[in-house]
Amino acid sequence: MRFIHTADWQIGKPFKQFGDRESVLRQARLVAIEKIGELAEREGAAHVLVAGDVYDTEAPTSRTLLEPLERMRGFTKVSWHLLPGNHDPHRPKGVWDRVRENGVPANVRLHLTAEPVALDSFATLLPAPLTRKSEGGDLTEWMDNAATAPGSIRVGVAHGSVVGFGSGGEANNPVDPRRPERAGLGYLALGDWHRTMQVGPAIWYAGTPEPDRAGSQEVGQALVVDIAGPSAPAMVTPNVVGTYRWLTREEHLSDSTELEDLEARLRALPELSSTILRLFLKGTLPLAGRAALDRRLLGLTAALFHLDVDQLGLLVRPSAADLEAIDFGGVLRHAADKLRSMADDDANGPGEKRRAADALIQLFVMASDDGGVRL
Amino acid sequence: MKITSIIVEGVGKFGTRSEITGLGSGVNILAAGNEAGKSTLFRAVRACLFERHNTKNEVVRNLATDGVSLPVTVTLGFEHGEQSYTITKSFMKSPAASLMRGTTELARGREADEMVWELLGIAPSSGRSVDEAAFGILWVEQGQSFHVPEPSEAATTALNTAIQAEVGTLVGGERARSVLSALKEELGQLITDTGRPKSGGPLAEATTRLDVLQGDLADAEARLSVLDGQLVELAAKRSERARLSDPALVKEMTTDLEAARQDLKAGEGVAALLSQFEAAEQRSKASFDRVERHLLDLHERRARIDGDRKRDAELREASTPLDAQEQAARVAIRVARGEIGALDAQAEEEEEQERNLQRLATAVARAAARESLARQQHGLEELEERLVRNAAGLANNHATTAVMTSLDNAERELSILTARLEAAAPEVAVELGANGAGYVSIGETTIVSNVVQAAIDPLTIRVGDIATIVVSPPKAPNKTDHKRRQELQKQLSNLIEDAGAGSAGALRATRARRQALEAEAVGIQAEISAVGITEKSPALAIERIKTEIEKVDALVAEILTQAKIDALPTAEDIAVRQDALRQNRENARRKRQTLDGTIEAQNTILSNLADTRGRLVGTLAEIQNRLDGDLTILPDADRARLIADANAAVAVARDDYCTKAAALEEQRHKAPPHEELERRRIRVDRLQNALESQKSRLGSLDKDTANLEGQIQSAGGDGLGEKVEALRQERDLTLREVERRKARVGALVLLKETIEACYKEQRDRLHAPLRRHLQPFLNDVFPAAELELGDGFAVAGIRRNGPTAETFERLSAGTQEQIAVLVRLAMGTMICERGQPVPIILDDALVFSDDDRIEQMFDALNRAGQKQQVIVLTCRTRAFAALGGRQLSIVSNVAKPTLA
Repeated sequence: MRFIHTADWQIGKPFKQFGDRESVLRQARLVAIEKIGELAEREGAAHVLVAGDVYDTEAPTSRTLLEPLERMRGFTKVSWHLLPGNHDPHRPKGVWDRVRENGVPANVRLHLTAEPVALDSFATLLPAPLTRKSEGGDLTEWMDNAATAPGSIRVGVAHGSVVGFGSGGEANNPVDPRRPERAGLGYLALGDWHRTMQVGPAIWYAGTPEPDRAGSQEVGQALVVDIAGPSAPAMVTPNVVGTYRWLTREEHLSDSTELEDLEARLRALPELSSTILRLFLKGTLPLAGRAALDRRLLGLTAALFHLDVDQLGLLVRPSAADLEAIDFGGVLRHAADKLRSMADDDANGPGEKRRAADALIQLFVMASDDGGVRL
Repeated sequence: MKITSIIVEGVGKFGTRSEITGLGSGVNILAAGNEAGKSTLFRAVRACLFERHNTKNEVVRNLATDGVSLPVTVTLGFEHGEQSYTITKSFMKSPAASLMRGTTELARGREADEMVWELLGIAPSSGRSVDEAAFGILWVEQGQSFHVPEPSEAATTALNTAIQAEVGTLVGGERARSVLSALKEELGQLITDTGRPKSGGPLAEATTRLDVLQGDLADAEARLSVLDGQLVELAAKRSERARLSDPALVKEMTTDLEAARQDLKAGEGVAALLSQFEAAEQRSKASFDRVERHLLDLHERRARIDGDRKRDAELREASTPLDAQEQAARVAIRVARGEIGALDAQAEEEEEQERNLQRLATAVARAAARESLARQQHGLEELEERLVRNAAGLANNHATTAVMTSLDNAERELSILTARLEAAAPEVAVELGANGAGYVSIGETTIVSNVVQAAIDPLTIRVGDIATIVVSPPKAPNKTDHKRRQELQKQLSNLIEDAGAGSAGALRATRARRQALEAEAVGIQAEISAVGITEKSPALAIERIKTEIEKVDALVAEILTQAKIDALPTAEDIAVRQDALRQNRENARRKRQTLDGTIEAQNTILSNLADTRGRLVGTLAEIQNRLDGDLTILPDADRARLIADANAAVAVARDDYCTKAAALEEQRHKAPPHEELERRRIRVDRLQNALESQKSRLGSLDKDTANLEGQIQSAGGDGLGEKVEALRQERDLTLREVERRKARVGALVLLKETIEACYKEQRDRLHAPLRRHLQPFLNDVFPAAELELGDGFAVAGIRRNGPTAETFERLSAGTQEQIAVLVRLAMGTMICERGQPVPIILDDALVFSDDDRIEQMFDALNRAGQKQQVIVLTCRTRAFAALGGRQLSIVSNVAKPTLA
């Protein structure tokens, strides 16, 4: 028995922070479906289990509703098993009723009720669909007593947080991690956690096929699951199906000379043009270094799909050369000295210190040779 | 730069080619009257240097000569950097530009425009205007010399560049100003002067966008919340419907209902049988009660028959004495009525006597008034006679008030006329001699003494028969008066004649008599009124009195006849007889009252007897009726048998009732209690209601579900959830943008304020070079004075006689202008020393300067002229004669240079 385990597609999720490239990321999530289909065909898996959150919201547009179905329709040898999650719970006249009303492709099966469904003569699927965003009880409990054909591999599929596992899932939909043992499951396919994660011998989070945020998995994956028989262990193989890499880096700077190395490290990242980088900068830099940093970041921004820099932890320490670059004396130098004092004065609040530092940087940019306004 | 020649054509009044001659180093003066074209030349020079040759802006259009179809052509010769240049520009028609150095053309067209700017250090602006740099400060057009120079960006740069050379390294003023300028420019796009986001700027735009997004998001979230609520509600309703329509539940409820109905039916059967036993017991009880009541009735009738018979006998005995009492009462009434009849007859007779006495009394009274009537008649007859006599006197007397008024008026007018005529008439004086008396007559009158008379009319004087002298008044004068006098005399004559008098005096005597008659008439009328008659005249009253006297006489005669007496009795006799009659009547009345009381008392007795008798009869009839009834049911003959039969029937009925009551009690023990039956009914009702409610609830749920489905369909199908997520992200992004821009504004404002604060601290050092260059010029005009300079080289005030500064705005217009010109001269000198010798041009300046002060200003101008070219344009030829320098002149119709 071989099938694909995936989850958390969240089709229709907006990416407004990417401006005019938002559609690229939205499209990437649909492309991920095709990659999963191709993976299934390549691996000879007849079934793809989608463990919840197919859609990002309960009320998507009609186009958003139909686009993933159309992508799945093309893979005629693959059966797609869709489970409602906390983003798209099954409620009367909700998103899944809309899907049904629009017509479900023959190779797509919706699991909207908790009842056994035979995948083939060897395996039975036990789905635990969410009917609301937050469930207080464990919806997989029914699997313990679910009747299946003798000798059939029992495969559970659910969406929620593993009790006691501390997965930090988005909703309070508890799942007992001992469910495979209690319900005699050969495998329990879970969704909700946006990171590929093995919880137990027969229980996995598939992660998302296309990440949507920094701090979760770097690149989208889907799992190929092999189960030789009813009592055989599940063999799970993660496969990359995502296009964009979501990276988070924290770099520490203490001198301008480190900028070059920083840029080199970042440029060494694979597939820059499809990388979304969240960069936390900490430490201190002189004014000139800070200006140079901005120039380097500008170049990196063009190289990456997206660069988001957090410089709140990066302090400005004007050097003597910085101040001389502003002027050796006179009005501007006097002003620079005042601003530096304000930025260093602990009597000022963080906001005032930050403002003074920003003003000093601005003065440096405007008055220094680099700023190009020196007469 | 030094201007060496100016040639214009088609410019203002210079339609033909005209040239300014005499230009050179130092001070140059072009003194010419008003409308000589000085200012036009000034503007032409500016246009030649600063306007593009192909512009058609207002500056250039205003230069064109009216009515001449020529291009506006300006040629300017100048020296710069020890080289001679010539720039020629033709505007409007066939625009062209050419820059020559010596005899070599360096550039044409646009290139020539820009090469001149580059040569003179002027930065071409991206806009249409050109920053004139130092020229903006030093070329002062008409009317501008009063204003302290406000240097433009480039001009300030030029000044600061000059200052930098001296103190720039230490102060950095120009760099600070440049940074400030850039800061202000960016801040100006972000915020207003008051610190609020500038409309149209990026901060305001982001803030507005954020507001819109927050509004949209709130709206979308509200709609999504509603949708979520509807989904939850729909799920709950569907769940409830599934629960309610569960077949097992329905079957259970139906079974329960059927069982409850069976229980109720069984209970109700036993209860029905009990009802039959109760009915039988009730019927038996009724039968027993009936025969028992019959027996009791017979006993009651037996007792009543015996009692009624006894009572009948008693009543009949009591009615016997009533007949005698009735007879006595009727006799008494008859006697009383007879006495009343006698009294009535006596009263009727006395009433007749009283009426006769009354008629006699009336006749006596009327006879007594007859004497008075006769006296009144006599008095009236006398008054009537006097009245007739007086009326006849008045009828014959015509001296009425109107006649007398006419007489008086005519005599008064006549006397006036006569006096006037006499005044105008010749006066005739006759003096009689000693023997003349009676010998002379005037008119018909013989005079006996001297007479003086006016001859109004012809006057005939006869002197015996010796002579007749006629004195005639002149005819012409007073002709009208004479005529009027004659009319009046005629009128008087007619009046007197009509009144039947012989003269006016007689008429007046007649008038006196008429007045006496009128007074008499008034007196007679007063007496008639005093008599009190109601008639219009005494005659009518007399007739009435006569009639009354006749009536009295007839009445007395009639009374005497009726009374059969010869004479009327006295009034006292009549009164005595009337009193006697009244006494009789009173006695009769009292007796009548007594008799009426007797009749009334007897009638009361009769009434009471009738009542008593009636009651006895009624009671006897009632007793007899009851007795008859009772005997019909219980005849004396069958009394014992009937009572014995009734006693036997009661015994039988009592036995039957006891039997039925025992059977009922037994059945009651068998039947379920009433509460149990009620409970079974309630249970059946409850189960029926539960089933019906379930059906009703299912219907309601189906309806609600359909409604919710419709609402969800319409709300959820437009991608509301997706929209909310998108709006949240956009809101967060915009919020960050606003915060970022605010932080940027905060940093820029802080930087600007910090630099400005430092700049102010360094201002004195920055202004030192300008003050140093200004001081010699200031000493020329305001010895020992010192200027205070503010931001942007503004003049804040001047200290002349002491430590206290006078503010610039409080100085006189003339002094302000002089200081402004001196500041410009100092700026020019400072710039000149930095290698940018820009000519100073003053157009019509120093117009308010007095003779002493203008001389001092001339010294200052000449001091400036030592280092750079100064061109003064003025219409005040006499006042500026002492300026010195080169005298310029305008030469018209200059021939174009021929090509070599």
